[in-house]
Amino acid sequence: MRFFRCELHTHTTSSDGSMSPEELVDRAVECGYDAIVLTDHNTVAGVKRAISAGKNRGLTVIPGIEWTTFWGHFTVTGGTSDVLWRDITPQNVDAMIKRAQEKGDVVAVAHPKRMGFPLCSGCHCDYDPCKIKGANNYEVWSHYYPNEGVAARQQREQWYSLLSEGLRIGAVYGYDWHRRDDVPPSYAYTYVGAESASEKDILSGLGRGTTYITVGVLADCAAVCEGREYPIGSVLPKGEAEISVLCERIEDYRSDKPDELTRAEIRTDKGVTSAPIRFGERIKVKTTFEKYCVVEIYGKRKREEQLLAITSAFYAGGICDDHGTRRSAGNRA
Amino acid sequence: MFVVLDGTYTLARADMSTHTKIPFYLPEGVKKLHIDVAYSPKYNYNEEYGLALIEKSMMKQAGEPLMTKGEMRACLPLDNHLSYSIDSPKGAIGTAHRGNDRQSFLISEDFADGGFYPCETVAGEWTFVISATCIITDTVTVSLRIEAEE
Repeated sequence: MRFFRCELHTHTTSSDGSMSPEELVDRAVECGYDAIVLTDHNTVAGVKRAISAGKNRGLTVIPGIEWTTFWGHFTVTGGTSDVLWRDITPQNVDAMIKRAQEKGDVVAVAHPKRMGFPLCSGCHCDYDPCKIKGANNYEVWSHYYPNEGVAARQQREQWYSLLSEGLRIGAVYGYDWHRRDDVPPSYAYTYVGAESASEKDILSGLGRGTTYITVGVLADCAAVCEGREYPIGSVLPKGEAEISVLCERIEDYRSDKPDELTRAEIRTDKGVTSAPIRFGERIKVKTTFEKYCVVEIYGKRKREEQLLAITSAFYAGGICDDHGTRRSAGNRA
Repeated sequence: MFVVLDGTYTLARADMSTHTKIPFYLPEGVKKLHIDVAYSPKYNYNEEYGLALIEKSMMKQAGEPLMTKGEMRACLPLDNHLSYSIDSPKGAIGTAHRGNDRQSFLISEDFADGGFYPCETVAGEWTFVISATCIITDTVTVSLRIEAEE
């Protein structure tokens, strides 16, 4: 398994984007993505053209849609579900998420703490938090300056709150890519762990929650427990685990690159362990947890210490398949 | 070419977050649909109202300031936002979600644009759906004209 650079939240002229499907694909190739998901608002009209353009350019384009409801947005990846966005209500949103997952799609809560009405009506997630807990993933970071500001902080807090409840919900970033940006001021990548960059494998990685989000840092991260190595998103046997982390620079990151790393934080439901870390040097940290374990990487960027990367969680105990991976749908512990 | 529908519809603030369904009937033999839809007003130029609404909504949603007064002012004027969907007798054929207050769509078996899918323009009852994503004026008037080409 390796990690592939993905953009999971994009738009074209089929909704309110300014790039045609072909232009989006061209730009994604220029930006070094291995795979993108086309998630136009409430339509899949651009998907065929984007997939065709992707085949010509060697880019995996995964069909998707952004359910753009009045009360919140969700990126739905896979293109197999038959849910009509107009049928989604505050009362049935949980059932609609489940229905999409049962068809094979992966559902992520999109930019839940972004300002909604009257600036971007529907962008703020107004659904009862209990009703969105079944989502596979959560946009912990979104759009420009993803690791800065109030919305980023509140999203991160809510995601940790969901993990604390014992939910298995992955961390993803959504660029929410609407227009051609030659050099975005600050943006992130979602890296998805998969056997290949094929649609099937990326979708599988997203379903497992084998992801991390980053501004400029590659994070090779795994957990070792009872002599066996587990990737991000895995369910580990209960007990002590050793978290192994190796970070490198993303050399072609186009915005401000991190100058240096300062520390890795191993954040679990039991507390936080901090360890110094530098580029190119693997660290190993022992920890125990009962629900979740997340790795955060901090470093200096623009001369200020910032949170540079967040992994999805390793989970303790509970239901897992033969490979120790998180169930891909209906992800309650 | 003949006119299938030519109407105006008024939405009020209370219609926000609702779908208004407008049925229309297509006879046999139609090959293409030309749809022109526009709404007015697009903007609410009342600066005092806009700033107060942003501030109130911000505190309700975030519980703390998300932006400065200057940043709030840069978001003005606030605007209305409507989305459009079309259902053929065979099912939904897509949605047009963008901020433009004037849009035109072409729908046929071989081609469609604006967020819609190419489909047979079969005879029967169709529905044009106006989804009121945001209404920040007392009323919004929508003019809708659908023409059919045989």
